[in-house]
Amino acid sequence: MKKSKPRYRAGSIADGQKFMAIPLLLWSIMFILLPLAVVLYNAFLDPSGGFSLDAFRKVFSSDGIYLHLLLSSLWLAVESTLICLLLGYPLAYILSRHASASVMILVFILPMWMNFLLRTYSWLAILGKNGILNSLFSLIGLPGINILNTRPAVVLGMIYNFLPFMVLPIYNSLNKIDPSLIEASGDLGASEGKTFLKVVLPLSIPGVYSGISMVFLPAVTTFVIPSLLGGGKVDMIGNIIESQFLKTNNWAFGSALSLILMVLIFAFMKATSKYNTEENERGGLI
Amino acid sequence: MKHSLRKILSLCLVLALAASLFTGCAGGGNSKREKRELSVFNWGDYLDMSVLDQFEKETGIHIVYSVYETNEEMYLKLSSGGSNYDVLFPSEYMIERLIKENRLAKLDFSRIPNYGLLSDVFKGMAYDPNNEYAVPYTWGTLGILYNDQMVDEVPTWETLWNEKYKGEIIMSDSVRDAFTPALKMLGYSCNEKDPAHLNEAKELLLQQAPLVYGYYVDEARDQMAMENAALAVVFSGDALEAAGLNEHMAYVVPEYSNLWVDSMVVPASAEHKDEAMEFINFMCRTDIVLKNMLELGYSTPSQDALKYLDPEQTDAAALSKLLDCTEEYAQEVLDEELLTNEILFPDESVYANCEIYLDLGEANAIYDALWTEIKASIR
Repeated sequence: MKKSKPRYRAGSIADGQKFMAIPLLLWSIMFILLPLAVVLYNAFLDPSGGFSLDAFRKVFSSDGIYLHLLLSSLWLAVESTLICLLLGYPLAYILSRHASASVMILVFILPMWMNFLLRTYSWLAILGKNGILNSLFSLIGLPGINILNTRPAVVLGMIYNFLPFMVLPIYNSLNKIDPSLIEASGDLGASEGKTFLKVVLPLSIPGVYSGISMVFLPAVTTFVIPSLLGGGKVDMIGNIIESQFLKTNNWAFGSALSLILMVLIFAFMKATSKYNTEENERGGLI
Repeated sequence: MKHSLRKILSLCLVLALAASLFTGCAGGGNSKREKRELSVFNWGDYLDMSVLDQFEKETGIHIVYSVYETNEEMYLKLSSGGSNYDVLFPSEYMIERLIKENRLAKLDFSRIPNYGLLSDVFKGMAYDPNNEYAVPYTWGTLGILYNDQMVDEVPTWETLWNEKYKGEIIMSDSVRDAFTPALKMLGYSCNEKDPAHLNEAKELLLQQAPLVYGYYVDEARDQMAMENAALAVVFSGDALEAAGLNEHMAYVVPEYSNLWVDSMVVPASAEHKDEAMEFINFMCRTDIVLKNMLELGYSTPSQDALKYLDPEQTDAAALSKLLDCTEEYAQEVLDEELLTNEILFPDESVYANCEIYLDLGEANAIYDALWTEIKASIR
């Protein structure tokens, strides 16, 4: 009997290699743990420097304005994520079965080489009352639409900006599926639909999960998209938090809102992550 | 061999990277006496950059230039004490706040002789009544920019609440500029501090919300030029730019509005106060004032500079000599007849009953809370 020692065992790294993790550790402390501690500290600070729960009280009182805003921001992000998923999954599926997928993916992410702000700003020119879209409509005799500065415009902006983050991880996990599994399924008599439901879909779930978190997280915290495409009328919780820091200088309230948002996001991610069980863990983030 | 070469190369890179961490420290030690430096902290796009080169050439003082977007951002950076600034360009209410908090140094006016070239209208204002801290740099008004094809009346603040213009009104997304129209309509000051009065203004702004096309600051200009809206609350500088983009733009300053003045000040913590005085004096020199004004399109408080724009008092030759430019360019400038531009240089009667913003102190928090509430309630 010959049994070779595994080269790597999870959780044990040769002593000499441990120091390699020190930069990462320092980085995490400096840019993840410390800022979190600062947010936590600020949230419980009153203007004179003492301990106070006022900021949290304000979030939960004020006629529920802020709670409502929190929930409606979450809902807007969920909506955008779902639409991204509905559009993104078929797209990723088509791409994964296409021979020249790499060219198509290049075309697909080409706009992302341009600055995010600029791309979003250009929608102002497209959706405006006298924008490109309405000019086209009037050219073919259709009535104009006014969706700029409304909720649909913000959702559109989210989908436009975040769709690639949904497609790429799903494409990745679809691509990793061993074709022989699909062949085997066919050999065993499963129809194409059944193969998709029983083989392809379950194996691509890790990619779907990554896609959801990569779209949902930036969507729920963004303040740029609503301020550009919502014209200050569809403010999300991110806008209120931003203004607490940059305009109104109420760091305690901004920190308290951030903390509550973090807790809600954490709960949301926990709820979605039930699919992310151990056996499904490959695929994952791109 | 190849391997060691790579090692040496990477070592060099690491050293270069490490060294770059310390470059910011230069000038902090002994070299300070040898090389004169000045740190200018200004709004973005708020001077003709060639003027900085000219200052460096004329005086040998090296300028470290950085920019901010809002008074509040400037205040945060100044008060957090991370960096040292020598000259700032805050607005009136921020100057008042900085003076109250002892953050400004008194200026040495004996070293700013060009101060005499500035109009008295902008001196001794409420935020600096004894003319000790601030030298005015630019000024303008808050008013209503409108499209004369879409609006057939001269708008007043009330027009911004007229159902007729539903979905065509752009309001300011900046707290004080949004409250000013409401407060003025109610007959209060734009420096109102009474919570009950502010609540009335809040109700008014909430009533207006369904009529509003969007809340903008910088985008208002482009949105108006693209004719996406009919009316917008903007500052005169934006109005001027919009007028350059679209011929149907008109601008009016309602009877009780806001007059703003941005001034140059020196923080108490400044390390180069002598150089700062020199810089402020330079910035008040007529040729520099004109260069900045032609670049920015904001009105200048310099009386002397206006003479060079008045075709009756000057000609292209004199102007080109002053600005060190071609006569063709000077003639172009004169042909623009800037002095007769009502947006840039309104009649004194227009701004006579305008109010300047003062520091709200404790009441700032009330404005902010009400504005946050308004913005959170709109849907």
